[in-house]
Order: sequence, then structure tokens, then C-alpha cells
Amino acid sequence: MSNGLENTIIAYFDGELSDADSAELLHLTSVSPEIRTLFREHEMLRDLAQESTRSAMVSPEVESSLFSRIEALAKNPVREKATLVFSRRTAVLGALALILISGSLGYVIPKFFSDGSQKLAVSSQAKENMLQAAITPNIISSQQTENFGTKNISNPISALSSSKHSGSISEAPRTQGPLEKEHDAFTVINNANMPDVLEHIVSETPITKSNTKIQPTVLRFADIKSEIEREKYSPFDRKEQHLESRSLFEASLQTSSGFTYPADAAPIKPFAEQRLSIAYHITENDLIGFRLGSGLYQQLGNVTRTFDNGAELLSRSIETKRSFSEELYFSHLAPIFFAGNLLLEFSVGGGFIPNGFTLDVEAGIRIPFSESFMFGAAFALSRVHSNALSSSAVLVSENSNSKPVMLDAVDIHNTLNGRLHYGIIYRF
Amino acid sequence: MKIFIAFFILLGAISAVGCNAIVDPSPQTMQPVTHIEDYYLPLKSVGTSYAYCRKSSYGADTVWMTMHGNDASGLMLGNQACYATDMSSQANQYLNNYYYAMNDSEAFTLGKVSCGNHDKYWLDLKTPLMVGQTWKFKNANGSYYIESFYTAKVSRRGVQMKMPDGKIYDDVAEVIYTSKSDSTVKWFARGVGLIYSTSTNPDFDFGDEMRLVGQK
Repeated sequence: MSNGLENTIIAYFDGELSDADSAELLHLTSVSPEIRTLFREHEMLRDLAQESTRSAMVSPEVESSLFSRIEALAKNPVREKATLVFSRRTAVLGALALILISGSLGYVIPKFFSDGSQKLAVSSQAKENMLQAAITPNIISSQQTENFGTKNISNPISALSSSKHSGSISEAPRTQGPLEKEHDAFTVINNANMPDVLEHIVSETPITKSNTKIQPTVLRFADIKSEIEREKYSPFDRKEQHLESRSLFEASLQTSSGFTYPADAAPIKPFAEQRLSIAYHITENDLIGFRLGSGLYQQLGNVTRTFDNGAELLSRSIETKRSFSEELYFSHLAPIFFAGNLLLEFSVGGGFIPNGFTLDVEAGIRIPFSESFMFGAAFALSRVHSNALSSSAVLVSENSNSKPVMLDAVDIHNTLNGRLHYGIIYRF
Repeated sequence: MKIFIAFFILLGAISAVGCNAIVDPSPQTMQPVTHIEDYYLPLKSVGTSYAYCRKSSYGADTVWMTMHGNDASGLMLGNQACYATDMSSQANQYLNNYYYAMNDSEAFTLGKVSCGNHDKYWLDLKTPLMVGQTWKFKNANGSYYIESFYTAKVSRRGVQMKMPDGKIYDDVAEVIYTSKSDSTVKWFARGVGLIYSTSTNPDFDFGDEMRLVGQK
């Protein structure tokens, strides 16, 4: 007898019990303290089992099986293919959230009931709904349960049947009188800790034979899907970004390395150049700024003069010189999401170096690692122009009254600098 | 989106033309000269005259060198072409023939004797003409008793030279000839020939210094 009853209870929790058998079981539970105790024990065991599985990784097979069972409950012959991605972190976070919500509600609802002066008189139909809600927490919407609580209990099966076809039972006729109170109470209860409520109701409210024809509530797959989709996670998903900042200024300190074309010197080594930038945000993603740099530029050197083999020789070569530069620049930031919030940065600028000027285009990326600090890396191409005299101009200006003058010099006035800048950006 | 497109167009444009239009070309390594006539006197151009200002311990004068072309009567070892010029000094009206030999790879001064059977020459240029290139020759400078060995070296090429009269020659090659006792330097401009020379040899035919001052 006991084993048979336990099997019935297990089948009930597994959703394998028929409507009639479910009603019979609930009736027995309500009238027999022994059966009620057994029912509670199985309920607790089931809760414990669920708790233990929440912290475990859900395998695809188990997930698929779960969906199959949910479909079976929903009697939905066609199920959309599950393409959702669960991660262990999501599962853990979901479990923690559920625990917190459950804990909060479990604390609030009993207080609510204990403080209430009016004894709850919930109809058996409402109890059935709550029982079902306890089995499937967070699935039934308040609209469903609100209407469910006012269902005409004279023909609950027909009402539930209609709800299956329509997806809603709101068209069911409302009964008057005491049920209005039940409805109000249940509306509150719906947001409470269902197992506690269930225990409260089962222990204090007798269920009569006249209202034992109760159907388990219909699970709506759409509701389940909508809940689960929130768990979907992919590094390619664009998440809501919270990059708006009230800070209008930013400062950055960067260093760089790179190359120069045409080059007559070794490549610019890492950390060889530094630049300090101060910028003002015209908009959140557009900024204009001033940049002070200490860089290595290949420029024409000074003309040297020697007397060689009976002729005066003038020499000039291109040299790598460290010079300060002053530049103005405009940048546009484009927020993107890839495994985190990032910013693409595109800049144009120009400025002066000693005896020359530069024109720059730059593209890079910013990686925020706090509200105010970002790591920035960008590749810049700069055209560096030198205002030095051309070789012909040097020779023309030379006075050669008695001896020929020879000029051995290169004539490169425009070079292209490629630099990889990287450093810290602080917004304030 | 528009700013992305504009930026990448700008970046692409700079990358595409950066090595040519925006940036000055790299000074390319000078290609060796394999056709020596480009840097030597216009010996084949009959009638062309060069005026040189010559300075020596005896003073300064102007020497005219007129090209007479290939010397048909000249005979040289190896049947090389011989070219004759006459050199006249306006100071003393002295007229003397002067002979040169030239082919694609070598150009040398034969002196004022003749083309025939003359192996005591001054090898002015030799291919490949490039900086660092050296060659050796021996020279008696007209004497049958003294013989000097010279080493020639191309010390510069592609430089510009401005003469005292203001004329600028591009692509000038500088060759230094050294021996135990003296040193001579000659500058040859592409398309012109000898434009300037200096020597520490007191018996050098072209004096201590000779500089091109005119052409006709």
C-alpha cells in the first residue's frame, strides 16, 4: 500500500499521473495526515534533488530530455529545436538568483499571512492551481493564475480544456461572492513562495469531494522558452552598453614603436617615443584634442663643409632626430561588443615639428577596464614634411668664387612614419 | 558607418600613394656605368671645342681642345680606336696634337706623341664606374726613364658640382689617381666629360689645376 502510494506520488510529481488520479491523490493528501506527511517528504526530496542538480553542468542529453518532457506535459506535438547555450556560470547564477528570490519570498509571504487578520478561504480550484504552481515555479504568469483562481469550479475540466485550445482561460465566467476574496488573495500568493503557501493551505483548508475534479495547469512552452532564452550567451551577442559618461575630458599617455619610409636607420624600437594627449569630448563618441609628443623623425641634417681633393665639399644626410611635436587631432569612437565592451577609434590630426609638419591618420581600439581607465592601442600613419632647403637650393645659394663646390647630399623631404601607439587613457 | 568608410578610403589612399607621391623616393643605389663614353670627352664629335682654364707654376692660361674625331692614321696596340685633338693656348698660340683612346669599357689619355705604338698611357676611366671601383696603370709621363704606378679609385658618383662661374653640373664622378710621389684628381660630368682636375705632379700636362670654362 505504502509503496503503491509512493509510486503514485512520484508519478504525480513526474507528471505521469492522469487527471483523475491526480485529483484523487490530492484529495487523499488533504484528508489523511499520514499521506500528507508522505507527500511532503517526497516533495522535499524532489526539491533537494533539484537543488543538487542546479549546480551541476547540464548535459545536452539531459537538456533534450527535459524539453521532451516539458513538451509532453504541454501536449505540444511540435517543438522548436533547442539551440540555446547554457554555461556553467549561467546555471550557477540562475540558481543563485532563484535561491535569493525564493529566500526572499519565503521570508515575506509567511509574514504576510501571519499578519493578515482574515483567514484565507481559497477554493479548492485555487489550491489545485497553487499545487501546480509549486511544481512549476516561475512559469505561470500572473494573468493565467489570476484567471485560474476565478474559474467556475462546477466544470473545471471543460474550462481547462478550453484554455488548452485558446492558450488563455480568461474567457471563463467569473463566479461572484467569496471567490472574489480568494482571487485577491491568490493574486498576491502567486508572487509568493509557492511551497510554503501550499503547505499552509493544505494543512489548514479541507478539500471537499465536490471540488476534487481538478486538472493540472497547462504549461505554456512559450513561457518556458522566454525564460530560458535569457540564459543564452554568446561572445558575439551585442549586449546593452553602459558607456555613457559624464566625464568630458580625457588624458592619455602612450608610447610607440614603428618604422619610417624611406628609412636609413634602424626601426624605431619599443618605448622609443612618448606622447601625452588631452582631449575634450564634443559628444560621447567624438573628441578633439591636443597632443604633445617626443618622437624620432628622420629629417635632413645640417650642411657640413670640408675641403676635399682640391674642391670644397658640402655634405648633408638624412638623420634620425628626436623632436617634440605639437598636434591637434579629432577622434571618433565607435562602440562595439566582442566578449566585452570595446571602442574602435579613428583619428585624423596634424601638427608641427621643428622645421616641418606632420599629417596623421590613425585607427585603434580601446579596452575599458574601469569606469575611468582604458587601455588604448592604435596604428598611425604620419606624413612628415621637412622644410629644409633642397639640394639645388643649397648649391645655388653657395658662393663659389674661386673653387668649384661639390654637394654630396640626399634630398628627402617627405617621409612616412608608421607607428603602433599603446598606453593608458584616463577619462575625467 | 560613413566615418568608417571615409577613414578607410583615406587610409587606403595614403597607403597606395604613400610610397610615391606623398613620400619622396628612397635614394637608390647608383647603377654601375657600363658605357664609359657617357662620362668622357666627346671625342667622336668632330669640331666640338672645350675651353679650359689652366693654372700651373708658370701662370694661368686658357687652353682650347678641339675634337678631330677618329685618327685614321693612328695605330695602336690591339687596334684600338684613337682620337685626336689639338690643344692650343691663347697665351702663346702653341698648338699641339693630343691623343686619346676610348671604347665602351675604357677611356685613356695617350698624350701628345701619337697613337702609334704608345703603351704609356693614363687610364682615365674604366667600367664598371661605381663608387669604390679601382684600377691600376703605369705611366711614364713622356719619359722613357721614369715610370710611375698609379692606382685610380672612384671616390664619388652622382654628386653635384658648382663651378666658379655658377654653372652646375649634375651627376659628377670623382676619380682619384695616386702614386708614390703625387696625386691627381679628375671630375667627369655625365654627358660632358672632364670638367675639373687638380694635380700635385709638376710635370702634369694639365697643370696644377684645369677647369672647364666654356664649350662651343
